Amino acid sequence: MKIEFILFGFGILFSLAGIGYLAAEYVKFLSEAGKLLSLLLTIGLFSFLSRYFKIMGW
Amino acid sequence: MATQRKNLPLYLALACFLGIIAIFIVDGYMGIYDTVTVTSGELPQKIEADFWARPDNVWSTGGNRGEKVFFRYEVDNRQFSSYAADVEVSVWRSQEKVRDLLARQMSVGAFEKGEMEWAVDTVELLPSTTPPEQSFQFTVLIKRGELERRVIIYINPSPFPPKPVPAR
Repeated sequence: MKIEFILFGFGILFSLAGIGYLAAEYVKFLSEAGKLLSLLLTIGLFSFLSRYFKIMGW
Repeated sequence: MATQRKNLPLYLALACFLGIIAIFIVDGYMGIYDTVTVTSGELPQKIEADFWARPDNVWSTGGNRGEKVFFRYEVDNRQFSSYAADVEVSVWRSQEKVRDLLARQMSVGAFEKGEMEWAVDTVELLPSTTPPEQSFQFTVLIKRGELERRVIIYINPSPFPPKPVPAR
């Protein structure tokens, strides 16, 4: 069970690193609608992750 | 069934992440991007594509009297189809065209870069009667299809204008 959490942790870290890299490289080229949609999806990403951890009892 | 429901937020988070990546690729990476490199003296200045998206997107640079200012215009086609456009370059001053520098068609293949180079000779632009202590400004207008890019060249006055030799 613990190894799963470690793997999830790695997955989350890589996801955040990927978003960070894309944001640093390409956020300046995004349109206003694209920026807004990305922001909403980022909020959704974190809220779903926190809900998942809540269900898992963290 | 219970495990699937438990993992549902994780799958939704993954969907959000994939959505963000899709937006960055389609909206941020794909498209046509142009970069201008202006070399005046020994200093090259690169005007990146994101500069043109700003509201105050007029670049200003200096040039020395009697020297040339070199331009390199790059068009990066990040599309699955080829791109073709007419590129016209001209020099303007006080809303009047001084001269045409270039008029050529540019054709760039899918996910390739196209490039054009030209030079603005300050000697040709300045009227011969201009006193050396006077500065000048010119606008280099780059038209690619409907798009316009403006670069202002500020031609510096000569720091030490030649003094007339006193008559003996």
